[in-house]
Amino acid sequence: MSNYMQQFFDPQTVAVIGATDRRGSVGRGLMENLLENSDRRIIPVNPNHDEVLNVTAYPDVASIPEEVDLAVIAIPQQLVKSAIEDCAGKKVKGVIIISAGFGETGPEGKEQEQEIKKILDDNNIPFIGPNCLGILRPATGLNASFAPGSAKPGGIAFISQSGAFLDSIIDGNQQENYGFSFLVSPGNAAGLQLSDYINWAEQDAETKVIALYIEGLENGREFYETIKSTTKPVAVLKPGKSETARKAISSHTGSLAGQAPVFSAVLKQAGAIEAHSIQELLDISKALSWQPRFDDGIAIITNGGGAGVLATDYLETAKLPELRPETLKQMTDKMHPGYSAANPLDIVGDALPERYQAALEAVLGQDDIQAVVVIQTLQIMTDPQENAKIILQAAERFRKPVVACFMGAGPSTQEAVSLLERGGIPNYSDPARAAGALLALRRG
Amino acid sequence: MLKFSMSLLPYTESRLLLEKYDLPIVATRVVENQQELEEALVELGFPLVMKIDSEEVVHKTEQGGVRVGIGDRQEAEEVFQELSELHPRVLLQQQIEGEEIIIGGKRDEVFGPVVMAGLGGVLVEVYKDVAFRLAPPEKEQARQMLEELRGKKLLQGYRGRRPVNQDALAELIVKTGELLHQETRIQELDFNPVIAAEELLICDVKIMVSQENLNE
Repeated sequence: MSNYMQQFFDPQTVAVIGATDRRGSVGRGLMENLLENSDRRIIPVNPNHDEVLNVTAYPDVASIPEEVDLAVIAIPQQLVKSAIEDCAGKKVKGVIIISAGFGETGPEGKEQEQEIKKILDDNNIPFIGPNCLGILRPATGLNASFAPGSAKPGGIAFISQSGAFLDSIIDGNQQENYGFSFLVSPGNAAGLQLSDYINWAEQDAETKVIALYIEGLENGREFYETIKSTTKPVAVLKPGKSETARKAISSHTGSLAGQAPVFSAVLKQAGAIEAHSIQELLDISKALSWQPRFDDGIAIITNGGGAGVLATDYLETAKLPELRPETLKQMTDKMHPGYSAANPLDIVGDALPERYQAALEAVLGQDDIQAVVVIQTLQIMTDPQENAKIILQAAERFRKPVVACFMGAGPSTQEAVSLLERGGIPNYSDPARAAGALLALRRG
Repeated sequence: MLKFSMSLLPYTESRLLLEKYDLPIVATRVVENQQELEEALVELGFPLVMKIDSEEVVHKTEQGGVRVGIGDRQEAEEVFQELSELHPRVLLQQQIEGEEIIIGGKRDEVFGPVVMAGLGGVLVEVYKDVAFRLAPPEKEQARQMLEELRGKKLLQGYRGRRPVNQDALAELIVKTGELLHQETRIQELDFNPVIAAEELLICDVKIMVSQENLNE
């Protein structure tokens, strides 16, 4: 695999064209985000300032004495072309064009976009954008974006056609433990395309799962071929169900084949997973980045009957194997006389950690059960942290995917949840979310 | 891009395309006069379906251009007179019974040729029980499409009805996909219904082609 994109993920030297001290500006946001990692050389470029945020500034890229790996451009649209020419002269290795006002505005902007594209292509300089948020690579501490803060490192490659959407995820991922290998918004994708990012994620050692937010595609077949050939799991969220433009089509097939069902079918055909909300996309990506996939066969262990029944409903499309007599025999002396010896396995509200342990070990030992969801409702005698430890041990020993559903969000639960998630067991506060994660892990 | 006008391919041309891709069509004759009608009646027997073969009328049923259950010669002659007033070319087909299936497809702006399969025949618009794949799908994908249908039990021989040969149906979906993939002038097509009698037979064909490409 070629390294033509490497400079976007771990550049040594980054020039910020349009860097400024002015509060509330993109140029300042970029500088602040980039300066968070002090190992990297960040060079502000601005003809009107000698320094920006106490870093020596240069009037243009040509004046920078050292080599530049990555140039990030955030200046008014009419100045972009000349900055690009400077970058080409300087032989920078990659360019991110944050500036908007190009192809998205109409034919004139499109023409200007083509002009800058030609300069960069002629000089073999790959570029992101224009009209994009930038890129984040948490593992190398790179935040070449104007997102409101940084993201946690992890295995999710998040490629979003909405930049603003990325911002919200970065802001929201502080409570939920979503970790990212990189986040990028392709913007107008005049240079690097969706397929470039997907192919990069495929060969990227940090990436375990590829999460896509897609609003539109220019070349559907290429997209299909790309995700079909990807060995890593791909999860996709696609908005836009209305299809007014197709109403004129007269036959039955035409009127039924609105884009949404076709898109869903394409995802199935390519072996990708479709999510229906932002939360679901991230929930299933978290599970896929931490846990192995399995074919089918799920057991539900719960200390609350209601939660178990709900999970059963949500897992309707999966196989829930019967628990065998020898499986039940292994656990029965630890159980409450009123426990329900079935799948879902209700170990009753007063379950102490030893009951969870007996249930988990017996159930995971049954060969047609390939994955388990462990539900914990909080009673006065429940010991979330001990339960978390037991789950981690059992998952480690049996090497089968396990998903937790510790309900409630009090301090004792929170601590158990972070214990679980540090060990790679994803936790979801609602059985619906836990079931969704398991169904995504299932190859089906 | 899809703004050019489309027209319905006449039966004889549709038939040639179907034969090229080994797609089975119910016994059909095109009739334009009394003598041809007589010959067709001898060949096909009864009961019969009669319908007009127009390039313009997409939904023939709503236009009164389709008559079913024609049981004898006298009825056939009367219906022929009536249909001839709507359109000079009339199709005669053997009427067969069985599960009604739709196989269709279109050229999607984003994804190119897409094939569709579903249940319900003329009621497809009501139930909307259909599945899609990029064309041509692999046979396993065609089987998956049938698995996705809510009414898939109807294919398995529900309440003593004849089960549908799902292997043959999947094969038909694959071949339809190949036709859509190869014949780039086709914008949309409907085989509706495909009836699962002793064998699967296409009983009605609508192939929409773009005018622009036709003139090439």
